[in-house]
Amino acid sequence: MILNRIKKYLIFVKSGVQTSIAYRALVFFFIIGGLVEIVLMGLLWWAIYNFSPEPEIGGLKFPQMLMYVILSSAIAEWTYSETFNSIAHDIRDGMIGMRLMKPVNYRAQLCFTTIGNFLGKTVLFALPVLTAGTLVAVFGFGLDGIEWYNLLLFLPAVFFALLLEDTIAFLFGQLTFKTQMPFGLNMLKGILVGFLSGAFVPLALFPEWAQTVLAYTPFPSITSTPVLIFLGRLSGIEILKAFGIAVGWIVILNIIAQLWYKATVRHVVVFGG
Amino acid sequence: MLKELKLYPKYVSMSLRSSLSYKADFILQIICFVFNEAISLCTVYFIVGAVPSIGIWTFNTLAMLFGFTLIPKAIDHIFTDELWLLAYRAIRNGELDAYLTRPINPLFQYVAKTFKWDGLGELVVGIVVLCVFAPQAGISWTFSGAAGLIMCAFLGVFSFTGIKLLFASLAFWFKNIGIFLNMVYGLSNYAKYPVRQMGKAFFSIMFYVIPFGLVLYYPVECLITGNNIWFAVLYSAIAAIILSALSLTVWHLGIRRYESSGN
Repeated sequence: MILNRIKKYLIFVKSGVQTSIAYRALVFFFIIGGLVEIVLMGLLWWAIYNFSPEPEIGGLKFPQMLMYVILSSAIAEWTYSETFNSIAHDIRDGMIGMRLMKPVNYRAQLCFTTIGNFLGKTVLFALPVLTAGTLVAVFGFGLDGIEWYNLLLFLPAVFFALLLEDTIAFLFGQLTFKTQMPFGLNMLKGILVGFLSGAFVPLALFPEWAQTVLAYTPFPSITSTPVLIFLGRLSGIEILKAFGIAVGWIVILNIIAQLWYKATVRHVVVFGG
Repeated sequence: MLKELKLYPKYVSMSLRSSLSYKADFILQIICFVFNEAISLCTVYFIVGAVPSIGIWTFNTLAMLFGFTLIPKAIDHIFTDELWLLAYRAIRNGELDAYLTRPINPLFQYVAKTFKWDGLGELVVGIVVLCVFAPQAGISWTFSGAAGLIMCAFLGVFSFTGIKLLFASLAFWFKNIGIFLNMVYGLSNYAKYPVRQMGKAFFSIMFYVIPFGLVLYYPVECLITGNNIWFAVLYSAIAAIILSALSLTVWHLGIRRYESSGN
């Protein structure tokens, strides 16, 4: 029974993998867009380090900061979830009615598609980009302190980031049931999550109080935690604590998503006929 | 030309009515843009906060630069947002057919179609941030300095639109050029940082190739270092003329070889 239920959703994982393979040019697009961004942010940090009286900013030396920039933009692309766009699309085209008729959970379907996408991108995008990025940082800029166990712990951290990203996308997706501005909402989500997760500026540069508050929110788990684990900046206990917070938020946010979704669907039934 | 001027208010009111059809969304969209810029300024604050200063650049001077760069960008956003769709899909989908059959300049028709009211949010943020931080940037303000800065903001719009039109028009040859345009246009986001301190190569690109540095960064740098800002006005004017001429030429060459994809 349970096996059957899981089997049902594995189809979505498979289709997610296939979609990401169909869009394998992503690596190429990332090189055009992402690489320019990385080089420019790298130059900006280089200028700042040049004028810094201390060799470390936010506890990071320049090579580590460069790797931070590379990792945060690679993770953003790697864990990007199509969930929000799928919902916006389904609502705009009226497909949402069809979705509701099928005997699958809409939330689970989207989540498993995202996981499939993620698996495809892991091979086609993350492995080549991160290998190249790490080699450049290590041999070109003298990055050190990266151990095999850091890389190993990095993987579950990124997976948690993926689930959080997907859940937040689903929550924002609920808002598109009521407004006609998916573009603005998507932008708002990207900026809010990017800023609070440390993708724009490392969280170590935020004021103390903000860091303390943010540590208990789901946001650092989306960028900051995986990056700092990769760089070997977190101790075993800190990693455990971060994973605990991430898992806790994944559960809480999914419960909220499920409840909210049930409420909005009723809304759709009333108005959509 | 007179015909176009008479028509433009009609286009604007059309855009306003269509955006006001969802009033809450319209307001939310403006709030999104304002929020976006607020976070952007916070990012600058945290980055600069890590060091005492980057040469002449402290948070106050960078915030003033930030406000200034938003103004031409917002004006360009308000008037010519439709060019993004030219780069992404209009040519591939053959959407230009309708404009070529009417007795008005097709570029005017295409661009006038959208008047982006949400850009006003950006413009207001830009002006407010500039006005708040300009007195604190350690500049001895004169009438000539302020007039020069306003001239630069005005001329900067032509460089923005010129660069956007130039790269969007390449879609006549390459169909979907959107990602490339996005990358080039994205360079403007880096004009709000200390361009001169970020290395020779980047400096040269931002001053001589894609002149966002020349039209956005340089005027403010002139004011802070006490150089004559009218040189910046002169360079902005030259950049505006060259980019306008170049982009219009490429547009005309492109529209001549445009073939519909069929309906």
